[in-house]
Amino acid sequence: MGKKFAPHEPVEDVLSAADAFLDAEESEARWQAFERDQKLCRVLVELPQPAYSKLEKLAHQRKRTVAHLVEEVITGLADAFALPEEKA
Amino acid sequence: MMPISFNARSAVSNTGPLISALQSNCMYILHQFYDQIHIPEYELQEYEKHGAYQETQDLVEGGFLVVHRDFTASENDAAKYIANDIAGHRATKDKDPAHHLPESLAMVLMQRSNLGAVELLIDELAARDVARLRKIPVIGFPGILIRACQQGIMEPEDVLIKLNECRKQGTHYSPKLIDEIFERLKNERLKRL
Repeated sequence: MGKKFAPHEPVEDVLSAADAFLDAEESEARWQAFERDQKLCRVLVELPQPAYSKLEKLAHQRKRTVAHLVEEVITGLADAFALPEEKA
Repeated sequence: MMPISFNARSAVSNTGPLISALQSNCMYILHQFYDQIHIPEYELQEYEKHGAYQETQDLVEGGFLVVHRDFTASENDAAKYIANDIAGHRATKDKDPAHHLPESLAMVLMQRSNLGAVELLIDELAARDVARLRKIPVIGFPGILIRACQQGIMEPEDVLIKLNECRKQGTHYSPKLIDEIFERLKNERLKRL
């Protein structure tokens, strides 16, 4: 690990493990609802290094997140390779 | 800053989860889950106090962190009311409402419908209870790592290392909490195999 950071409110009690799993479950449900609402489909993309780092650097230069950059590139590619009947 | 599309995945964060992400070098996980994280300006002083001034500035310049300074008088009043509730909660040891203003302003941001924030990142028990009473959806940093593990972005062993790293740097994640999360994630992985 690199740089160290002082903890935030270390005397305060934090959530339990049960709370943490409930958080994860409820959060997942919220984001699935968000994706349905926005008509988004989730895609898992696994990139080997250094491809991911390059993408991360590019995203940072363009002030974008990696996820958004991938979304834009894939959408652009899909348009470029669209079948003629889909373009019509 | 480049404009974020209409379907940006937005959240609001209290200081704790972002400090935990920095302590454990997990900001990349937050970048995978969120396009924008909104924070009240009040929190900037806290990041500076924690030694995260430069990291926070980089995140602001990159457009990932959005700092809000534009609270109306009624929003400030609402935040003070929330801060009183947190200070009066049995789970908090800090009974000074002024110390709970940053998380209270974060809750006020969550209540802005034009922000489209889906959840509030927060770890402290008292503030989480107060948020839930106001129907504000919450997730703590351990929950974010659990989601990452359940989606195959991390392994249970990575979650163990990351939470232990936060603990080493003083964050209040107990060994019991960390062990329980690790064991349950390992069991979930076994069931998937």
